[in-house]
Amino acid sequence: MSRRKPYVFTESSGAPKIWRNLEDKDLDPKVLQEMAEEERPGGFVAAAQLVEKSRLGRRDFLAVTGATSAMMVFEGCVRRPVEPILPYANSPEHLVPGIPVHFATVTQREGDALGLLVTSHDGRPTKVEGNPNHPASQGATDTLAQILVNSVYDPDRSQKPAKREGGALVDASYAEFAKAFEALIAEHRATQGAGLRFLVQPSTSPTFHRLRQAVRSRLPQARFHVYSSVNMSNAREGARIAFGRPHTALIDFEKAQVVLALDVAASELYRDGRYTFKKSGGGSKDAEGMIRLYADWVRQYPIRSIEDGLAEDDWAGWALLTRELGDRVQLVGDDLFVTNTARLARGIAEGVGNSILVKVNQIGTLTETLEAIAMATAAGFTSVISHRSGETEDTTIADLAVATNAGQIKTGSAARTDRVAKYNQLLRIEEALGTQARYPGAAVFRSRGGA
Amino acid sequence: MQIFPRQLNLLPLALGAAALVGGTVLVLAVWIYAAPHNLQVGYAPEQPVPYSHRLHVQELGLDCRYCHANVERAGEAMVPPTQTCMGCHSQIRTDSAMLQPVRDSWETGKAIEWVRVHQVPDHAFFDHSVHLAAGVGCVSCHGRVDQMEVVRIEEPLSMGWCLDCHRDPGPNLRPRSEITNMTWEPDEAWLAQIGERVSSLEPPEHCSGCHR
Repeated sequence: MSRRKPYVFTESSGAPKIWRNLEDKDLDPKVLQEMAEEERPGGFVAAAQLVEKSRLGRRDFLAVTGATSAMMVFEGCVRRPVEPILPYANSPEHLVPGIPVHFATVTQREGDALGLLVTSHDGRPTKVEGNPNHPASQGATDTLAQILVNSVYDPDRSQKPAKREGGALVDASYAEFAKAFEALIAEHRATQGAGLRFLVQPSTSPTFHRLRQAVRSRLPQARFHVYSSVNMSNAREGARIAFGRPHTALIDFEKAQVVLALDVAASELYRDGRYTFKKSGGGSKDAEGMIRLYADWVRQYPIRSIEDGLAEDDWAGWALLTRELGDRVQLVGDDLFVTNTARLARGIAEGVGNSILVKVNQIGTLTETLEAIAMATAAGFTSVISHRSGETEDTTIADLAVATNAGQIKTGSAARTDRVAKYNQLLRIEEALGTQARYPGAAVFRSRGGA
Repeated sequence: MQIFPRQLNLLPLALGAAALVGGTVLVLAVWIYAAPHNLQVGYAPEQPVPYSHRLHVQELGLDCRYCHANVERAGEAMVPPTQTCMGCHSQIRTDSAMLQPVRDSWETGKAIEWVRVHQVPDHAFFDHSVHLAAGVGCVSCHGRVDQMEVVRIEEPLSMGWCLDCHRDPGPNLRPRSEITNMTWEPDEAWLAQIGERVSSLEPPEHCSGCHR
């Protein structure tokens, strides 16, 4: 029946020991011989002497599995496996199986509420996003909010109670848990909760407050300790010193009376694809790093306009900058566009910048200047009429800024006569226009779409 | 020494011929028998509750969507929760032995284990709501369920069968108001506007339309 020759492990003296695997090499030859016998069908060892696992020989095992899989294939051809459908006995309201549900909710954040929008598939939350309509978060979330899906459902968490036996945790039933818990409560009730302490997070939840009152009324000696490893107590203390009450600051830069406009002149920093800060330690950033820096500043300070935030030849970086910040900040191109309609046209086509700095004598003629402004306006760009460094007292640009409805003029601070002359001209124009004059204020930055 | 008789010289030829014929027969047998129109059509498993569609739909006049309520909104037509059954059967035939599993489910909160009849493979994406919105009636794929005591498969549910309709949806379309009507026949007014309906549909015929 068997064509296989039995293994022979007897050692022949002098000859090198032959082995096929590490087991052969290290095990006692006698034991090996026994194992070989066991494995051999109809071997010399009686079935009763075999260990359990080897009753089914390797060949028998292969024969049985082969036949089984062949039958399974045949079965699969003939009729599909029977698949059950398990509907709810009592279906939750508003649940349509397979269709995700979106709802607004809040989570606690340091005694404050964080507005959230949750996507839930078949009753299982799958995504948490900020609620843009919530006044505090305005659509933002943080990592703690994002991971809330796991606090509601996490397959890695234990699914049932466990109890400690010796050093190990073993599964327990809910009945066992209830029994142990009741015993614990009874123990504390006997002492009115003396020595019982709760460690809790800061919370403004009415439900938590109610439960805490319930615990206190039954266990008057129990103590609650509120603790959070990271909190806003410093900011609140600062607000208390400043305003007399622990207000929470909500910054609305729309209402800022003084705003910042930066002229970075980044072309001066640009070398070999990186922006190097020669005078501040020599560190350097790529375009993305610069954009991150601006985004961080824009979040913290009332910056409404950034001129030449990136180098004049970094078109790709400019496009990214516009995508990231273009809806919040006026991104002015000076070195980038050089009041040149050809470069402006490219900028408009590639979605680069959202504003042009207009210098009349940079392009040459007044006609071309007006063309550039018209082109910018048509594309939804704002225009900033600018002086040149080292100017005369000529005031043409003041008239131009009003006449073209640009709404913005860049002519330096109120020092030196060449600058003051322009502001004086603006005052004269305002007097001449009388009630027809309109000062847009901060609205001028919003002339472009949502910017 | 001659071991084999001379007649056996023809044996290889005969064996070859037999293999050819046998192989052809085998291929044809699998081709014809092991196809969806043979394996799928007629499947009518026994359900835990002998629910009769004929009784509920034809005699009592229930609309399909009374129980399969999400069919117009979701991919799955859904088998109703026990709650839906108990809506009536808490009052009607409250001691019927056939309804015992329903009452058990209602009391224990455990699902009734219905057996899936119509099954599209997992690698094919099928959405009921889209087909109903396009105007494909229940009867086009499920047959005359209103006449079935036990639900059985009437159509092959094969890929070729799907594509037949995707390539020429016209004959299977109807006004959306008649989706669940089992006996609807197209009238002239409908036939006059069917061309326009078909041209606005464009059912997908590319692979990723269904195999996403």
